[in-house]
Amino acid sequence: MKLLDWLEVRTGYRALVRAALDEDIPGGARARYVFGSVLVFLVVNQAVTGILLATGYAPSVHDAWASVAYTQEVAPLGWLVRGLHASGASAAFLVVVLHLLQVVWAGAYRKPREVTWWVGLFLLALLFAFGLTGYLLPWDQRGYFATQVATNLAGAAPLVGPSLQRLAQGGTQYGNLTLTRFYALHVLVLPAIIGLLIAGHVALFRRHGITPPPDAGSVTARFYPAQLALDTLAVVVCLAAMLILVVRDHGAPLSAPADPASAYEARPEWYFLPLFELLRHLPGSLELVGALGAPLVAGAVLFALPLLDPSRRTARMLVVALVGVTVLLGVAAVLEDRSDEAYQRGRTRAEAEARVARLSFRATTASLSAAQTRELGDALVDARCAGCHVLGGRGQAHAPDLDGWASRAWIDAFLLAPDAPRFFGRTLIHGMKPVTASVEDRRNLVEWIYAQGGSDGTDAARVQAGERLFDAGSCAECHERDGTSEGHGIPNLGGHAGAAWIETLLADPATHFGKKNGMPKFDTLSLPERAALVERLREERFR
Amino acid sequence: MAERRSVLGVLIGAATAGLALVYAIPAAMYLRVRRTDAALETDLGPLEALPERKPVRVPVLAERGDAWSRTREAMGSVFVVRSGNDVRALDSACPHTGCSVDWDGQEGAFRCPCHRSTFSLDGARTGGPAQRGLDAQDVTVKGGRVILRYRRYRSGRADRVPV
Repeated sequence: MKLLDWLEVRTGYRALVRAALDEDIPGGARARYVFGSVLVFLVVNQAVTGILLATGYAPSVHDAWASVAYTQEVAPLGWLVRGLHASGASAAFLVVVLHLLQVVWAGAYRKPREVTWWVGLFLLALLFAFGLTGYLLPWDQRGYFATQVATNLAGAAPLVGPSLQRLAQGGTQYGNLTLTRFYALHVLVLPAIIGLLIAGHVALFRRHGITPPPDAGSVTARFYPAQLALDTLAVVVCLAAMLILVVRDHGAPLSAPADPASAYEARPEWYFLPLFELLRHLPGSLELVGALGAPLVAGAVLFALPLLDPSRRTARMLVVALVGVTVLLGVAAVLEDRSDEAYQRGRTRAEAEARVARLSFRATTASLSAAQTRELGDALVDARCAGCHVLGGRGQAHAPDLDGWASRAWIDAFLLAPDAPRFFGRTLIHGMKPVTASVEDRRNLVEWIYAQGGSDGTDAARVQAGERLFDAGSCAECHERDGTSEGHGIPNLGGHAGAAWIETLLADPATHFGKKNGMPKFDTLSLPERAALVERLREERFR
Repeated sequence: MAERRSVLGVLIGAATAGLALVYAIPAAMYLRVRRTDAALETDLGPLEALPERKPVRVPVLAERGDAWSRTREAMGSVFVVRSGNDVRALDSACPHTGCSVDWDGQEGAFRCPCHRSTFSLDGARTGGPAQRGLDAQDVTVKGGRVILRYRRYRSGRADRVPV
């Protein structure tokens, strides 16, 4: 105690603590008073996790995504820090709406608390600015394309629009300066403003005190201990909910690195969805009115609330209607997307691309585990193959199905009907006649073709018999089997479905099937990607 | 009443401490720097290309994983000295404070331009404030090529401690 006494004499801190804890709560502690404290906690959460994230972030076009991927995938517990930052932002939007509703319910925006209310509204606007600037920083597909929409809309604003857009972007298009400017806004400018405003908001709140509820009577409690206990409990519940989400999702989403040339189904973060939905249903001429006008009108209505001072009932209905419409728009956006098949396909592909990017990044810093290689293979199939091939019930059927590809059953069925839809029926590759050999001969032939992809577990006698059949029968009239010469669009069966054969196919599909093969080249796959994809495809042999 | 206050006070304190730990522990783990193997292999070229008993400064280029980026960059340089089939490599960084030493062909000695430490051809300290000789690096000859495993040592001390 001596040390604290010493400190007390020098600073008088006890008066400060007492002043903080002895706040009057007319009518006693209530659960609906907790939201302000939870918001303070969330701001601290954003500051602490934000500073940690900043220690591992590089705001440049070439490094931003990789540095965030490093935090998400490699740095110890980086995913937790990232996840808490993202879920803290989401929680802040939810809690701020509850806080606003409680204030309206209590009529706490009325005289003499108008300025407290206005500062609060400004804080709400800042929250959106934080969300908008933070979303771009990972420089991934999600952030890049969603933010494009925001800056382009701003650029369409009358008079100041174009220069505002150029100012925010640091040029006429996105680049390094966009990132450094958004970063500076997100970590320097906005935190400074929000810090000052929160201080003002709380000071004003303390000056006027809690609006006494009608049923308060003469009961007056102090902030400490009952209300502080409730507030602390609410904070614990809030953090627990965030942690559950963060652990479930293993951090926060990170899509593939921004690729301005790609097709991407952009969606903003959920708290911008109502606005997004509004834009989707407004005709082009009204777009600007909706995008800039709707939030302005909503803001103006809220701003004017203490000035117009309607009856408590009217005010409650007005604000509930405002929040209700916003929520409904957001829900409508989600439901519409859910029933939009093209969007869902694009999303599945984008998620697969994201997994490919993250696992490939991991592969450059450490070797992948067997499970991760398998995951990378699956993701590659979803991202690159599923546009044409069906595998495991996923994908579109424009090319041969890959289920059980090059397994004995697959080869056998193929020999009987090469032009069946599940084989080459959907492609331009035609001309092979069905094999009419006896069941026994066909089994030998299948065994020989199967053995081309790897002789493990094959029946040597059947392979030999199959090879004789191949050479003696009509197969050899068209197919080569030395594994080197190109057969004018007729596959050379030497090494068929082996690792090297698949790699050649991916690098240049024309090698095995000639110019009629509509399959695009996949020659930009990295080494670990190629290995994972080949391994995944070869797995089908054993089905 | 006073008892209820103190019980709640303890609970609030415990909850707050718990909340702080939820952040402090992950933060400490997240910020902790993991030791990486600092020894990097570099191919210094064919042995016969090296002159006899005349130190040659060779840059140490290494594929370096630097958090999220991988680059091939110069990590420093070594003096390679060949005497017959024997080859040795000396770190060019002065063990005193890390300035880059140079070979003085006339005097036949390594000189540090900063604090005038001097070293003989085999790296032994011959004068000046340096606490030890130049750091010998691990070199092997594989298939006629000189392979260096480069490692940095802490400066300013008499013993050799890897960085």
